[in-house]
Amino acid sequence: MSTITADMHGHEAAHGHSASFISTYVFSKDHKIIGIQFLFSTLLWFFVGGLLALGIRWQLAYPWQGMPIIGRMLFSAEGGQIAPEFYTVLFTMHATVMIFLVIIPILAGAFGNYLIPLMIGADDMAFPTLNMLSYWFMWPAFMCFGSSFFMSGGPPASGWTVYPPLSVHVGAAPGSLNAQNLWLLGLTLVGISSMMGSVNYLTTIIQMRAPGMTMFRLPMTIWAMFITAVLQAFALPVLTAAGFMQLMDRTIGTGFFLPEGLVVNNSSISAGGGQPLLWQHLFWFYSHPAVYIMILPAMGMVSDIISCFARKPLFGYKPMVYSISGIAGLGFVVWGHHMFVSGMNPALGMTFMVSTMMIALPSAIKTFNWLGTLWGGNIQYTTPMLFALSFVSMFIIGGLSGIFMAATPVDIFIHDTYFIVAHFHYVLFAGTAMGVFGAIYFWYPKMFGRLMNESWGKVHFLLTFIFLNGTFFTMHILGANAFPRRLADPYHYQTFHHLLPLNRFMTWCAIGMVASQIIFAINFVWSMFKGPIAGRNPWHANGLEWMAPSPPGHGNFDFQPIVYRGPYEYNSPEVDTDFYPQTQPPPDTTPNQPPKKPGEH
Amino acid sequence: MGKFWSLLFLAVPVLGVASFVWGWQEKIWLPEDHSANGGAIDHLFYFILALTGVVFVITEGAMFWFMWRYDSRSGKRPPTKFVHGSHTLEVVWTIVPAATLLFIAIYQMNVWADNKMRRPDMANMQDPPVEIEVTARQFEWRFRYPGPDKIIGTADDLFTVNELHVPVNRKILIQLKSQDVLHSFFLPNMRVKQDAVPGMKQPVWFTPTQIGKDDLVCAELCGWGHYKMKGRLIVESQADYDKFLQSLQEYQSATQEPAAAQKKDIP
Amino acid sequence: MNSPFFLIRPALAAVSLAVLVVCLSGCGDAPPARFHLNLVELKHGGLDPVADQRQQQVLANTLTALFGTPDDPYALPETGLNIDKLKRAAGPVTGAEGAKTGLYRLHCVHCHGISGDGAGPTAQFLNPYPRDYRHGWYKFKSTEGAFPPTDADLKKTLTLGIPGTAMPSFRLLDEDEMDAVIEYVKYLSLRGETELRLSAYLNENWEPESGEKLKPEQIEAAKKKNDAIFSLRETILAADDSAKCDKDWNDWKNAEKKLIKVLPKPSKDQDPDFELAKSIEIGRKLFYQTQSPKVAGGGCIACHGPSAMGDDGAVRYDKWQENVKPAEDYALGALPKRVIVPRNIRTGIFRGGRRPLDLYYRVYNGINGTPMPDGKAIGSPGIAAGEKAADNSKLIWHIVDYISNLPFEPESELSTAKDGSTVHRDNL
Repeated sequence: MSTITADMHGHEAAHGHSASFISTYVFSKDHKIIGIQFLFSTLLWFFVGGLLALGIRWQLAYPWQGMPIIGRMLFSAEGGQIAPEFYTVLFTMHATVMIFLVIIPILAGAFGNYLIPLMIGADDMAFPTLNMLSYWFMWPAFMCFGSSFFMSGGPPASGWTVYPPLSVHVGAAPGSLNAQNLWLLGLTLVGISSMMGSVNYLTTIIQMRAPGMTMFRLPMTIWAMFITAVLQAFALPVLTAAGFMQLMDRTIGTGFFLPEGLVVNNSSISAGGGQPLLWQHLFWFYSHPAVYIMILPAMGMVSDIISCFARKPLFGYKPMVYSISGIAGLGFVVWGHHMFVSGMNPALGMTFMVSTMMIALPSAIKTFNWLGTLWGGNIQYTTPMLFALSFVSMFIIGGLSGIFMAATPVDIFIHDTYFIVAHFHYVLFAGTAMGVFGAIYFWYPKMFGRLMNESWGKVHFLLTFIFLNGTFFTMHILGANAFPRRLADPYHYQTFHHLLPLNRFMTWCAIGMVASQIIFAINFVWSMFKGPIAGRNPWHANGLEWMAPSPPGHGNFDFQPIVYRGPYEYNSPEVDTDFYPQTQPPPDTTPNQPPKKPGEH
Repeated sequence: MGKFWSLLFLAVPVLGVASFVWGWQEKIWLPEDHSANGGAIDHLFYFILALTGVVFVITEGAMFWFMWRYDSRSGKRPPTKFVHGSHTLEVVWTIVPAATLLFIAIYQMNVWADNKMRRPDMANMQDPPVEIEVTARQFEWRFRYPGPDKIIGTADDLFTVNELHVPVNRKILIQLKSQDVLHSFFLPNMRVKQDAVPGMKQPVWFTPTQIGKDDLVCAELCGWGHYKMKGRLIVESQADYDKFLQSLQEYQSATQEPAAAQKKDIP
Repeated sequence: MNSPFFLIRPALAAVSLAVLVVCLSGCGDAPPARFHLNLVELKHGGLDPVADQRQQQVLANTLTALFGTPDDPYALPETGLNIDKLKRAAGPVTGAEGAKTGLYRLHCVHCHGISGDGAGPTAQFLNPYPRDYRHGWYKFKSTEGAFPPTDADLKKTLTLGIPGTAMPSFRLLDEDEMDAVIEYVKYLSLRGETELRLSAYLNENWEPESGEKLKPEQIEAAKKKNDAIFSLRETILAADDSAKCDKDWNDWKNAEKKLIKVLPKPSKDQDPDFELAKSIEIGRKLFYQTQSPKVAGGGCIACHGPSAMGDDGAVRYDKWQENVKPAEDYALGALPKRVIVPRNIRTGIFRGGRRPLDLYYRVYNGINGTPMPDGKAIGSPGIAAGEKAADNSKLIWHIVDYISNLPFEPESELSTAKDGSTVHRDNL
């Protein structure tokens, strides 16, 4: 072992000499730097997306009143009020930014990159250059989405789902004039980045595990990243192709998505024979699996955090793995549930309804297993644990509200209402984003060598938790009232007139929620310089990443990690401590003799 | 602090249920059902609400209890269990939800078929459905009623915009079309929603049971003016409906402005 | 981390958040809304709107004195406008909970613009462009010639929308809301017409300031002259012809008196020999005829083409755009010029309404502001002067019968226009 260690040091030193600042911190091929680059970029976009959300909320609470700050920062139409097309821009770009520039890259890009090699005991990704490119391909995407705000005609405004003909016909919406092309290009670039990432993750996880790290000793995070990468790899080509088809419809006059005899804005188009529903099928064929891409990694990370702070093995590790894998399979056959009232054949709708009901099952199993993990534990209420627990609690809400939509007749009523908005915000914000916060608090000491401030972390948690429920739970009630999404002024309708006070309440909660993130931002930056030094394993966790220095140097480990057991052996009777790192040899075996060597590299 | 956090998490089910009860009490709840077909959908909604409500309270309650009891600072905490899972439990909580979900899936099929698959029979001589063609466009609803010949698509058709008149207690069969982009024909009080897709003709049917005026909402993003695509459903007695068609007929065939004294609103 | 001070910190945080939020929300007041000047017309009058800002200032001040601002409209009693209704329609949008004000900005401003110039933020994407109210030209109306429309005409357009354009139906507005919006549209027209008169007056009477060349007293005199405009009520009402705005104002007040007189449509009741098929046939001939020994036809074929699908391909502009010069006028806010295409009559979409009466108005009076001419010359030759009107009316009714039937001809089922696009009759 000592020789290996010496080799590793030599390796690191060799790199250290030749590396300039640019190659170390900017065009770095080190998965940790790339992960942190992803983290910083996505957190910045997170802020942008949050502001856009506030714009939406403001209009719903104070329709047509001058919008403070954001209205000034972006556009103000005639007469000092926002223009209705600007409202459509707000929700389009809010969703676009949050999904494509925040959630997907922060999970796969930031945490996937940072954690995969560390958790499986590898010194880096399988393809470091590809990995670097996967980050730098995000920048043209940032440029595309960013500059689309300033195109003549205005930013994209046909919703994040960009349903044709609205998105394809240049006359259908102001934003469809030019900005839509950039939007589609941006999407393609994000896709390329994701694709490079997922190929890399799959190869790394399959090929580069440390000695002794069998597949069933992988932490749940890695399993989740693995399944996510599989989903990406199989679903993304469809979206990319569909995006190009739409781009061609827009630029060179093909008619994939445009029916014959279409008259938009008093001008008809020569192409025809296409089908608007085709886009919806292709889009959701990717975007439904993408929903799991947006939640599975958070589920994995939350499992790790919960087990660590319950000081107890994860309940039902294998059922968890199987249920995640089940999602990967079922996830490909449920896309039609976004289209129950779209005009798709209702008999097909019935089929999708059954498969959709079934995909609720793996989620239920996971939830029960998390509760099982808490049962009989020794729960430590640290900030990451609180975020992880809130993930579970909120995911229960988001999961249960999904059953309403899966029930096709009920979906007739609640489709495109705030019930749906409530559902996916419970999954994506109250779920994924809270999980991500937990993960940041949890792995921050590994990334930067210092702990984040616990008290402020808890304040951040408390405020976010209260405000998010104030904002999103109320949406269920709006949804029950049939309050539709995407209306700039729903109070036009008598049916929704009485919902204004409720919307005001939600808006103030949303403002509070965004403002609470300032605490997080300050804590995040401040702790980088002033936080208490963490040491290798501040949480007394078992995972391999905690055996490396904080922050790990180039090449990650200063010794060759050899894995003897799974990552969740807390409170094992074999040892006196309440944790039992994966690399710690069992008392009765001699070191240097790993029990098995699956995938030597 | 463990107790504080446990109580915070307990607040989730408590306030969650309370807010639903509050909404229901204050009538900030499902819009009134004015149709013969909506009851089944509402029944399903409440059925699922009850089912998920129970699961919600039990799981969130269990979570609170575990958090409260197994707080590391709590003096009464039992020693930590070193368990990796339970095969029996896994089987139970796989089979039970699976059976429940399958039950819901089968239970609802009939309602779905009634609403989207079993189209009213035009040849039914006893009670023929009232057929109306609806064309959505940016940003209005255009309606086309059959003229005296009772066939849509002939020269005597009658046209209106944004105000859809229908007779009460008759099966209404809407032929839904779109002229430009996607729209969605949403009648909250009839529990009816269907996207209008250019190039396709979608049948939509419902049976209004209450005379009055309800909103017709566009529920699919159709451009910057989506919010102003507001229509109105006017349910009236058969006599009033016939009168309406009559006045529409008169208006539409006008060859002279009516005299000032007889000026009526445009039907 | 579990110090007793734990609860102080959230309190502190909440306070600082509250302060932050209040600070941020307090500094976002939008500037008050302003009418834009009609710079394009100013330039067409011969002045350089970029170089001479002072003239614009005078013009703007005068208009403000006469008509107020978008938030606080005003109208002289001579205009005949109802200020209460104007106030209901003007101003920022308020009253989401109750009685709404700011109706124009809620419903109209995105397309028609704050000044009624038809160049709101959304306008450039619409085809045809939204109406520019400032000339007082209206297409779909029941009044003679270029006379302004009646309230009932505007109400019909608002109620039914204009099919085949981006103008939707507003029939769900309350009665009083509708009235207020109509009043405001008239207000914008009156204001726009007055502006045109004033800028014409200014163009004639303006003494350009050229600094040294003018003596101080000359400048004083020039200023005085312009100040007279600034004080303006008397000037406007008593000025020579070019500024005599009350002519426009009276036109609007008298619209009701200028209704087109429609003679009864020939029908079975009147004339036992009447047959619709025959009438359609006569209409068809008139539609395609320009001149024949028997009758002066409609000559509709000249623009609407032999297929009646409006695809003759000629380049024509409407009156709003024909004088617009590309580039230089675009810089002043004019929308890019767009060719006006004659209607494809086979689609069955009739913008001004589908009633026989509406079609009669269109054929008889032409469409104001567009190349569509009036049909007053249609008539049989050698008919007695006293019977000319009756003859003209009868022939127009035949054309109306033909046009009404066109969309239902078998060949209209799927008609292909010149640009290769196809139009289903179904798309009505």
